[in-house]
Amino acid sequence: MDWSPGSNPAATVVTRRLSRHPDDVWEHLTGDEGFEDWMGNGSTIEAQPGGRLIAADPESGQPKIGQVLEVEPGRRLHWVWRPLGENDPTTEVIVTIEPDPDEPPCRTLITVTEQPSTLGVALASTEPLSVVSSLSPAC
Amino acid sequence: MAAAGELNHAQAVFWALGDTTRHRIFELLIERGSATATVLAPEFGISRQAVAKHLAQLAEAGLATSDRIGRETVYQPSSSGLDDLVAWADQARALWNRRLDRLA
Repeated sequence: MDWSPGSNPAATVVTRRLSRHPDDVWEHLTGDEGFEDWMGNGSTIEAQPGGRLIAADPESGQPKIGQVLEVEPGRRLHWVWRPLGENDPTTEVIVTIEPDPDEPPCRTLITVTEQPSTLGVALASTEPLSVVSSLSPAC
Repeated sequence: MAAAGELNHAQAVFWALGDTTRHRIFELLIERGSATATVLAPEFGISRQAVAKHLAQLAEAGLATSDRIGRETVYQPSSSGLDDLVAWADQARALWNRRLDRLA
């Protein structure tokens, strides 16, 4: 599906500057220890298309299962996930990582886009309906 | 749990607007303030029943309200569905800020 951060009127976009190297951030997104450290105990990810994702997700209190859809090593990770125990297809998440143009001390610019998933539903129009804007605190 | 409820509403809204015809019908409701399936059907070149179904689905997603006037059901646009979407998005943004704190 054709979907990039900011292109969808119903997407939530969060941008953050991190004082870590982009490679280190990527490791936290895709490495066994890093992902568990990030998403909570027991979390795992197979960072390849079709790979399985389990997130303890203590922030929401709702453990999630999902599937990795696309991986661009070091740059971009796209997955679909849903809370355990619910049948709904839930949401898609795209995480992009890039070197911060304003470094140092910020070294990484990370952008997360999440939207209700349209997998299995044709999304033909992206006319602006309600734009939910981003925010980008300093690192 | 509130989170799941809002998410489901957001998904319902997103699904409702994910269909080109339904999306266009919603836009027409906003433009005109109200409409009926009988009036809209010729403009879309589909049956009155098909338009009526789309309108009912918009209402189900909180994007329209209806009034029965005689034999016709008159629909008006409603923003409550969009409010659900915005509420979900606000919550999702707050969660991602907390998750990103763990990376900092």
